[in-house]
Amino acid sequence: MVTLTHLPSPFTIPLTLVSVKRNRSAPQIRAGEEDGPPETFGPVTLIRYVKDDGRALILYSHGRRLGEDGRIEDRPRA
Amino acid sequence: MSDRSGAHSPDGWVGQRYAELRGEQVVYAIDRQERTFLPAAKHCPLCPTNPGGEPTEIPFAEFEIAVFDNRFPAFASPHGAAEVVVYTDAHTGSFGTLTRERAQALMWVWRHRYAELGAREDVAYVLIFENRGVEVGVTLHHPHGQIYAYPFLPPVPALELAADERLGGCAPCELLRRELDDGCRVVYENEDVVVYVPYAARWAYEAHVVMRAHRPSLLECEPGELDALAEGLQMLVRGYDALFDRPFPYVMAVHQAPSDRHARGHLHVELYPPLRTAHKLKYLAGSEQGAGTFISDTLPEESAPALRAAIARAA
Repeated sequence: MVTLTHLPSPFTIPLTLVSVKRNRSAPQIRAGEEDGPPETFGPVTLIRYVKDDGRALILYSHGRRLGEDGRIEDRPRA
Repeated sequence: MSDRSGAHSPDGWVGQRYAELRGEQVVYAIDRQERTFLPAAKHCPLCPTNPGGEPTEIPFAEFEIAVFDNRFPAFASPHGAAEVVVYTDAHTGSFGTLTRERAQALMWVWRHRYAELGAREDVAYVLIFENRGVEVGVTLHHPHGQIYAYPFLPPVPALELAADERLGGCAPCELLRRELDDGCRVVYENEDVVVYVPYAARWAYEAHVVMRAHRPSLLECEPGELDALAEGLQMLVRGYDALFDRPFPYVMAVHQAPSDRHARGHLHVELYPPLRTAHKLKYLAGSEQGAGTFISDTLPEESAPALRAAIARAA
């Protein structure tokens, strides 16, 4: 199995990973369901959430900083 | 005649059966029959959730790139995984219209998912792919791709490993050398990536985006190589759209080392577009399905110059 130990460094893009819990009819994130603190992966920042139905949701951000509340500041549009 | 890895859920049955005559696994994901099919834009489940608006898969008013477990999975833990990768919160556009910065970030998202899914004990192979266009079965128009984490090694990567044995080393390295020596099918290249219509292309405008250096997977790539990969892919798909001056359907598949045989493999991306002319599709019919032999009506040496010119026009 591959592991993160294969990753070359340094990375240059921040990554945000999020996983969210939702039910099948109303995909809402329950308050306080962030699944761990923000992480960085190379140049990308990520935040994980868990949806109400147990499925993971990961939000990634690049080139932007995370605010104190874990939210992404100054998000660019695609 | 046994079901393997089968699991009942309230929504259906997911599992696999081995087709003896073809020597391959067939995956059954019964609840996918009910998946969302070409909804109107205002009901798109991949758009952000606006305050007071209809809930979507991503309960935020804006986001950059989102990955979530597929609501209608072909694979699910403890027998693999199926994820959706949403490239942008904008409903319109495509991989080709993403900003350079976003496309580069997407390479890192792919890398992250490959690393994380590939590390799981129940995953033998991670396939990152995109289906673009209703011609290849797209059910949601919002720019996105998918990831399947297979609990077994599928036939195509197994054939690539067999090609390594047949050619006495890394097959993509050898094929890249041959294409560069010939040169007539190369349609784009940058410092780290070469794009060509392969010598034995099955689809009229099939193209392979190949790392120059031997990199088994995204994990071994230097940051600059990931940027070059994003550039090569975007140049190609923009050229596709310019070729017939219409959105060009394709299947894009990221080929990497099996996660449990990481020393093997060579990162490359294969694109299979079904169009053989602006308005004619290549169908998989008698020979392709009954005998497993592709019949193509276009020589790669004829399609490559047209695609090369289209890429130049789109640049």
